[in-house]
Amino acid sequence: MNRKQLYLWSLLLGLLGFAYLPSAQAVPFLVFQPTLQSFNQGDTVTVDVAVTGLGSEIVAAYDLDVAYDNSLLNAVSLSFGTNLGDPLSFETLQSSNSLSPVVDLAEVSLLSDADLQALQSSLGGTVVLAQIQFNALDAGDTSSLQFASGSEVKGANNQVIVNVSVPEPATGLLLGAGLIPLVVGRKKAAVR
Amino acid sequence: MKAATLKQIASKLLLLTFSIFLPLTTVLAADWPSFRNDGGNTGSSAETINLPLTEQWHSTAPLVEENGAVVANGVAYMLSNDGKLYAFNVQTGFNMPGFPVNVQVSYSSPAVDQANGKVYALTGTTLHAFNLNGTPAWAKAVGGTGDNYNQGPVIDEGFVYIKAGDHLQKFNAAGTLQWATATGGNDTQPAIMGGYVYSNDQAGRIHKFDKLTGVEQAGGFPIATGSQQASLTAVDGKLFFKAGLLYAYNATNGALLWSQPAGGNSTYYDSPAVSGGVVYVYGWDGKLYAFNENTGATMAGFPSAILNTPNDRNWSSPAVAGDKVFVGAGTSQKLKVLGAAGTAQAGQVLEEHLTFSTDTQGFDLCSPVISNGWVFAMLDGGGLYAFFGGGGTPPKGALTINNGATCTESPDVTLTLDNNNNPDVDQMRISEDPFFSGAQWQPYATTSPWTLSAGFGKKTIYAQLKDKNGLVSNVFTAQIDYSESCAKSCDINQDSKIDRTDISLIMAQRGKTVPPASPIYDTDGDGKITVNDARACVLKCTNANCAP
Repeated sequence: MNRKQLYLWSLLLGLLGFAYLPSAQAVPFLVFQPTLQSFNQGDTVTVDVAVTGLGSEIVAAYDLDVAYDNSLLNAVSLSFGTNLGDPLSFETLQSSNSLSPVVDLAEVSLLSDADLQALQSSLGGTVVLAQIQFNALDAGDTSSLQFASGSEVKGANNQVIVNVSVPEPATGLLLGAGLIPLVVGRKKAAVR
Repeated sequence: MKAATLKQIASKLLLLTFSIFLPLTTVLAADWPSFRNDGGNTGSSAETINLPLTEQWHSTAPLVEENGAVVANGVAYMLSNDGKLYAFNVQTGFNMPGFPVNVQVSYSSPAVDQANGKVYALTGTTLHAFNLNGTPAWAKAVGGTGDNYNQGPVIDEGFVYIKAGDHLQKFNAAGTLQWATATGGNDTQPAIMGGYVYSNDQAGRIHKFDKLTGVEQAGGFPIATGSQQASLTAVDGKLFFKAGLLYAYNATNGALLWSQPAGGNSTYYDSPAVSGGVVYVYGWDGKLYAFNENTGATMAGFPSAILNTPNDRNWSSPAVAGDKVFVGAGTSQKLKVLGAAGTAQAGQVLEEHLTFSTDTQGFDLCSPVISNGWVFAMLDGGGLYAFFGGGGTPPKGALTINNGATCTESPDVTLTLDNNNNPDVDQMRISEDPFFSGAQWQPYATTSPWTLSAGFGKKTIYAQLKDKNGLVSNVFTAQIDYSESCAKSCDINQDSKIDRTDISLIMAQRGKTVPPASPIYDTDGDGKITVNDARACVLKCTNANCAP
């Protein structure tokens, strides 16, 4: 089984794991959307950075380091979303740095938790934070993208809702591996 | 004369009959001995609970994970995720002598057969029977048990019925197996009505067994239905089952009587409660639903308003007592009391009581229990709460720290406890622990010195008042930032207000450590300047949206 097949199997298991969890299981995590895409040299590759699995939780601030394989990709632009407020109306402050092979992006909403709840309630538990555009330096795929350790997302009452303590690849891969025992084990994990 | 004599004799016999049965009724009628109170799992009690409820005691001892309590003869029994079976004196909350006893890790509820002096725990691969003093009576290997979230053995006429090892099994109080019949669905326990035992096999079928022999019955059974591990409710010749829809079946021939949507589709469902011809279920959408048990018609006043965030672990089964319905409202961690169908306040929230748990899953599948004027509520990680519905008005209170200051540089603060001008308030207790561990009731005083716990950060203080009648207030709280430097906290540019300029200044320092960066940016004192510092200050902004 080559690396890509392994990735796809893990992704499938991850998705099965998601399906197995109760939909109310508010365990937010970071994702790239799409989770995996292939590219050829010279292509423009666009990736959304999002938090999903929010349930009733909100995203109030975040500080993320997105690492990539700079032999394959070169980050060329970053655009923030407006799901934490409209920057033109001074509802949110955004900050970024790009130093290959890492894109550092951070945002803190100036809105109250209640206003954020209202703003994000229609997003179905997934809040897109930003969009990163890369130039493809060679043929490959986006499996090298990962959230570096220390990346963090804050929710209501400024509580940490996502904290990356180990580098977090496209989340399906990680959860695919992590959820294998759950898939074959007791359902307790789904409730607990 | 002769007729009068006979009438007198009849009256005396009637009185004698009442005299014989009254003590028995007093002792047993208001017990709640199994997870949904009775063999049919109706989740209802005939008694009336007077409001307001007042919290009388709370035990964090049981490590709750879906577990439920049962009550018999003044003792509340509870299994726990720590592998123990607990027993508490209902009046005091103290452990009963001989308890807790060790069993296995469980998410279930025990069951009590008071008449035969046994308490049962279905854990691991064993059905344990203990005597009421906690000594072991017998234990039987029954095969693998399932999750049994909040569910437990069912007691009927001195026998205990369980599902484990892919079999429905019946034991007498001495531990002798009466029969065992193969059936699936180890995560659920059976329901009993009349001469039959009903079992949800969790594979989309409801089976019917002869209670005496264990022989499976045909004649419309098994019923094809939804696949779900909620328990069945069997009462009034009907079976009620929530699996996507709420279904009502004829228990004689298995025919579908009606079905109704009741709050949307979820992974788990609560079990219906049935009382006074009405079926109650708590919807995934956070609303309480009530239907006429015969027709499926929605009762006036229902569904209720949303009791908890929709789609957020709204899995608790309601419990009904007379004119009130009790619901553990999902992650809100609030026990809600609503008017029952047919009452003037049908579907309206009459009271709510906030409980505490560091486990954000709240009530999950934990369901309230009612017995002899007491209402018990348990929630994940939050232990067992005992409320008494003895009537009277509990005191109300409010707490401020340093006259409402938001920040202090000293750990020594002054608390002001407002007793709402209630002269009957004579005691208070104060803690930084929501469970008041180690806190003692002390004479009430309007102000009280308090030393904050070590370490800078936001501190929450919890307080409670008690009056001369023993009525206890709800827990009330106040918060204050304990900071090394209040004056500089968040007001980075020292212009006496916190606004977006301050937040921008913090964001500009993002990623730096302290030192060399100035500690005034590090509002949480963790040595790093992060979005946490920025967002913490946003929440302290002087104006909305941190406007200047």
